[in-house]
Amino acid sequence: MTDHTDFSPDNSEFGDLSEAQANLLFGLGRRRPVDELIDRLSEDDGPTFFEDTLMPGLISAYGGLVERMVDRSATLDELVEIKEKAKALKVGAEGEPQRLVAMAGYFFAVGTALILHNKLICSRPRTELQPIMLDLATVTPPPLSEIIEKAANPPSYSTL
Amino acid sequence: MAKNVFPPTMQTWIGRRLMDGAKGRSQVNRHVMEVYALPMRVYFLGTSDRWIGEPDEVVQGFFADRLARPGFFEDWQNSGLPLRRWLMNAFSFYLLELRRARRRDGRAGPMGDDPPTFSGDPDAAVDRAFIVSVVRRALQRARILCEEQGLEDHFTVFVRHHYQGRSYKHIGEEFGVDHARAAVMARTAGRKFRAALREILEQDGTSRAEIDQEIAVLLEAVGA
Repeated sequence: MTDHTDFSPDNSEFGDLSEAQANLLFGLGRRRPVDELIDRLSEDDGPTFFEDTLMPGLISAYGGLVERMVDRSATLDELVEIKEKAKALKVGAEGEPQRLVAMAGYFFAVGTALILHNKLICSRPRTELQPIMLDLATVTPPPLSEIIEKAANPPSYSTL
Repeated sequence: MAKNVFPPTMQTWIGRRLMDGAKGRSQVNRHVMEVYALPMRVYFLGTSDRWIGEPDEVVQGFFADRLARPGFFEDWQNSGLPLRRWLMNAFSFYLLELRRARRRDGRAGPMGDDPPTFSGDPDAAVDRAFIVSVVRRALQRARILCEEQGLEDHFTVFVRHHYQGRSYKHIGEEFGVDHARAAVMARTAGRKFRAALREILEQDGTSRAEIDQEIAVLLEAVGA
């Protein structure tokens, strides 16, 4: 490493940004696959997209299981079924709408299973799942947002 | 796989702007001057030519001279180099020209025509400065985006946590919200920041699909 780097504070906005701070913030620029869904839902027309496109897409892909997930009557087996269908859909997805439906099905099912049945039905570690659930909860309309937010910090759970 | 119908020069933000004539060229120049003033300054301060002049003046002189040249960015695109490497090469030649000019003016003793030498690793130094510069610009853009959408407090919470290192508990007390709400506010502003940062990298020549890889490679290169 050279000694000649001059990052001395200047008078510009954020001119006092250090190299260490910059590296941490630069890393925040990375995008998880699920951010495609979160970003779409956080756009100005996100609520309309959820209502008019995503929900019909979920119902088309997962049938009546979606209604039982939303009204919190889904069994653990049904939630696992949604998750598995979502994984298959993601692999064969041909465009953004299918990818978003797949991701939404997957994470909504995982979150619902955590809260309704205290079961973690995926292999993702909690450290990875928690920020995803928190982010999803901020852009998902109720009633799903409530269960997704709770799923970020489930009181107790076990794995399948 | 579908055939890519766009020529390579059309695949970058710079390539597309250059098709827009003077206005597009101006946008490209502004991007380069905003993002690369710091990396070029750092490069200059690391060279054996730093006696030539005041760093900011030398860097601005370089921009004024090279960015006005016809074909400068077209040559970059044909080189296949990352923009920062292309600018480093061009800056190195510019310093050589300045050195010759100083010699003709009698303001320097006899010196060779070798490119300037750099103490340390110039690529790493420029990469480090590039990251700092991109993050500064992304923060500025994110602040503007947040203000436009009435999310000033969200951006401040984001800065408090990720820039100033304060806990969400303390930030929550400052803003009268609980720590979970503070985290949500920071995440909302964080999405604006991420979008701004990725936009800058795309403008710099990184294809959208390769931005995550570019971030990882740069962070690894600087040992972060």
